[in-house]
Amino acid sequence: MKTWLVILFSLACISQWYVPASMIVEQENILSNGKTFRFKTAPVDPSDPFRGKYITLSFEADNYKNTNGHEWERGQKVFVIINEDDKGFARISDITETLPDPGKDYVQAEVGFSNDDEMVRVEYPFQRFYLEESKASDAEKVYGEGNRSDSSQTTYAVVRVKNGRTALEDVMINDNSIVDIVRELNEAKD
Amino acid sequence: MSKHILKGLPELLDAGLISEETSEKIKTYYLHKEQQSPDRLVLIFGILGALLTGLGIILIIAHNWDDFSRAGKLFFALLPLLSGQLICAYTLFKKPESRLWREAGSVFLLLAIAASISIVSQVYNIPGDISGFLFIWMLLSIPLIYVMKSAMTSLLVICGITWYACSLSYFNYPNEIAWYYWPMLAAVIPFFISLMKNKRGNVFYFHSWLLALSIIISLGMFESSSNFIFIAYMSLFSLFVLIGESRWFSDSKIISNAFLVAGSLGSTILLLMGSFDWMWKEIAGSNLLMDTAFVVGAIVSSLAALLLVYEIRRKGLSSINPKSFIFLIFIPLYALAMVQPEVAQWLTNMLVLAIAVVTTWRGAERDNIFILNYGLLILAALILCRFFDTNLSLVARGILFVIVGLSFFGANYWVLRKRKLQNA
Repeated sequence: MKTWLVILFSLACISQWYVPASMIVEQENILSNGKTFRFKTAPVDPSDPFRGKYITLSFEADNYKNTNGHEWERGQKVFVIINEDDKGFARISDITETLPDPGKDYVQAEVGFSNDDEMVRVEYPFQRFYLEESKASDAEKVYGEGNRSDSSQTTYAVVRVKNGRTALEDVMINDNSIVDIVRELNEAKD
Repeated sequence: MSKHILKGLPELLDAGLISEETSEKIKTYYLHKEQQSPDRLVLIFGILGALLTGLGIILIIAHNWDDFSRAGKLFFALLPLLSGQLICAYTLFKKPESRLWREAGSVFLLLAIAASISIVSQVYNIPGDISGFLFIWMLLSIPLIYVMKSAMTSLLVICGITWYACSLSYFNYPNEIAWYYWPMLAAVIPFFISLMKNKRGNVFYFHSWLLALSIIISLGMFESSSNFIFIAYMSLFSLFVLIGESRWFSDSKIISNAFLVAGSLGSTILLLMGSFDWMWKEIAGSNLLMDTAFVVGAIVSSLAALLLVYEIRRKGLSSINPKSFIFLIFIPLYALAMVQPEVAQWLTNMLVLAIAVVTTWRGAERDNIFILNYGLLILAALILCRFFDTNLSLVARGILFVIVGLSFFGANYWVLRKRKLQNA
């Protein structure tokens, strides 16, 4: 067999491993070294159809008052600087186009909607939480219940943040993982 | 085909048209040919099997079992990738001559690459965007075309990069130009050329069709307020007609000659669009910018012009398909539309009429019923288009249609009669 064929094949195989491997390394690094933030989830839009094998999360801290009248475009890549409120949940302290100062905690996100000079809404890269297909539907119901405005439950996502990159660790309802809640529900059903 | 000939041999023998010896020679020829050609059915089922297994594995893993630990999920996510690579390595070292192994192995690996990326994303809850995913997937799959010499992989890559271009340039908001589509397309071309040089089987014709359609679909990514994209498209269609009639493709049957069919139909449809007033009004309101669409239009037009000059030198002006010149007429029409859109529209109507007449004439002259009816069909389409925006009375419209209908009958009858007379 020709040498160049062996070299090309080896390079192809290595790059085919490199892509998933680099994703794994990055995520594991964020999960073990990233700072933990709790993002409170907003009530779910009941018209949002069930999306398959994941639940769709929406967050309370996803909009920011656009006081300086800056024009934002939909889909624009931005840095969202975050800190914690008095209850320990994440909130937006500023949105910038340029890389924030080191020492500040920030998340890379996209502009979802901007109301000229009033407010800007961002889309975080952690809006999906994957579950086993058969459980996702139940989980969405549990998540919806937990988010109802009259509910006394608190629902939030646990997100690790490092250098703007994020890893969604879990979705919690009253400090219990949604995975465990749905598992208990299923066991009770059986 | 060979079966029909073999079945007919006894009849030809009885009639004394061929000798016993010739009959035996014909039988041996087809037997030998059959043994040489790979079993097509086995190949098709092999590729289909690899496709279904690959897709099945993606579905099973995408089920996302919560009972597995993260490491367990990742192990199963990456297992198909490892298997695919091992199958390909085995094929390369042990069975390099087997087309079945090469095709099935690389199709399986192509799907395993997608599975590994999407399942790792799922394990870590990364939503990602579809265009980014398609880009990485195709980039990692392109080497397989050459390493495994796999035509099916090449066809799937052409589909994949087209999907990538559509997803980034048409389905996404805000739209972006899918620049990387072009180098990835260029990466497939050497394989297409090798198919062209070797043998012109179905694989080659499938490639021609998919390539032509992919380029037509993707060129729209450069659309802008300057509307120069119309020029880019018209020049592309003329370029396709020239490629289709060049020495590399001209011996193909019409249906296998994707570039000729796509170029001819494309330019006719674009001109029919230009027979309405809306297209020229839109062009008249264009922002005349030296933008990307302008540069792309200039590049495609220059390529068409270069090939046109080459072809004229090669076979002479009279043998050139008239459709190859349309882009040269369309560019001044575009400029004219800036000041006089109505005149440009009127001239376009005349141009379509002329094309219909010339095509019908060429069909009659070459004794080709297909081309003849194509010309008449263009004429019928033009008349149909004018029914929407003219105030002709119903009687006048009716008479026009009767005339076109009769000319269909008349022209076909004339050609068939001419054939009969020639054969008599």
